[in-house]
Amino acid sequence: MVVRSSLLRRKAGRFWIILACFICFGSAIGLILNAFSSNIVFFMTPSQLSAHTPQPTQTIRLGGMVVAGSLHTTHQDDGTPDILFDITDGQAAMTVHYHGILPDLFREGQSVVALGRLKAPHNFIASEVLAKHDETYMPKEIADELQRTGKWDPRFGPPPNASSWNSMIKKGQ
Amino acid sequence: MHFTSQWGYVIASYGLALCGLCGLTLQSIIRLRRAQRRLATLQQLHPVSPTSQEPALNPLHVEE
Amino acid sequence: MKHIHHYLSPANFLQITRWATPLCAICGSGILSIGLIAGLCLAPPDWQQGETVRIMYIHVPMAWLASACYALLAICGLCSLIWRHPLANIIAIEAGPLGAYATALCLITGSLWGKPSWGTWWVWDARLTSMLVLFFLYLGHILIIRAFDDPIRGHRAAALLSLVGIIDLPIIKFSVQWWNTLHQPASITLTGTPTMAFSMLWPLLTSAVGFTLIGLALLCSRIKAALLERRSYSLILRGE
Repeated sequence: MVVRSSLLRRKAGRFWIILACFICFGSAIGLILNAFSSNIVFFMTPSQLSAHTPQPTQTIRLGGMVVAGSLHTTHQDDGTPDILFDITDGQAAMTVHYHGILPDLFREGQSVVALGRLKAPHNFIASEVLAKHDETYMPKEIADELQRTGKWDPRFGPPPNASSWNSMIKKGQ
Repeated sequence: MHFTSQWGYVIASYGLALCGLCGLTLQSIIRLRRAQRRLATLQQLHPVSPTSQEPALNPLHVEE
Repeated sequence: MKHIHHYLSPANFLQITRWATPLCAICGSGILSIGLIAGLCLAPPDWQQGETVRIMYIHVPMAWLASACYALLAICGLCSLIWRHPLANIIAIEAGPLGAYATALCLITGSLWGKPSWGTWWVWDARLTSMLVLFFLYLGHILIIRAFDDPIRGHRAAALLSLVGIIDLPIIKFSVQWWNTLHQPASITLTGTPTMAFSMLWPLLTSAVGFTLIGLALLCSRIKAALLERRSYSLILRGE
């Protein structure tokens, strides 16, 4: 009996030691992540960029939604397109200048991330453009139907809630 | 052209997943067969009566 | 506690694997075939990603399984450190490579999905990086648990690593909410309604269940082989 109770006490002791270590380690990691959170973000939004302007030589990533109607493409002599578009986060907007081929998912209303430098305020020179897609997965027929009936325009914002698609399509017919 | 390249990525993913799964399955079947055969041979060499409580039969006793 | 010790004694576990392995394997391969065939043929293409969205039916279950398997490693580590449960170490040894396989496949299929949709194979955003960290945690666990001549020291070191590394799971889960990432937030959450058409949701869940069952079958058969190997080993020791 004595052996058994001391065994139990040792097990309980090990449990509390592990729990204490875990809490210490977890809070340390939490504090580190909190302190470095500005470096962990993959991109900055236009309003964050205009709040504190970086050096013109500094390479940064700018993320946001492509403003509807802002996309202008001109073809250069060498065949690669020269592209101008605006990125917004709802508060501020910034014009991006990019020379190259855009990813397939790039369109007006899409969220994109551009890598480059801020040459002048509101003028961003991008060397690479990535398309970000949202968490909505929608079959093509539903997307076409919602657009045809005017329920949703992908250029002006995210799609409606998935649970409402069926009722929206039925009402449209 | 665009259509085929999209399917290429899809087929590559499915292929990788299924090949890996087949490899893991094959490996664990072979390992299990080998372990069973080996144990049977050893049990013939060193017969242990089924009622014996020797720790050798169950080496995974709680350390303490 | 005593009951758990009894039911999870190695001899009892061998009895459980006798029916659990074929059950999981048969049900799992059936459900997985339904899920993957539905994902390849029945599920509709996405309105903007097109056919590449089908990679989701591999990528997402693998991501879930990678996290779940690491949680299993951590639970085994806890049982090994506190109760010195003999089976906990064996499960940890056998589950590690399976988790590493799931993580590797999640990273590779993610890369194959990222190229056509984002326009890049890899970016160092918080979600992708924390998933890569999980892969290295698995590799470290696999190496460290076999590295020592004295297996007990290896078990202890690996258990500590698995408990320390569990911090990475909430980071993976919440990285897409805490920081700006290129990776999109989760489509399926425990609280909200999924942001996905039902025709895409059911193949995803089916293949997730299928992969889980096949993973369990593989794990059971590996544990069984490990137990038999140890029994042989102790017979050799006894014969000498």
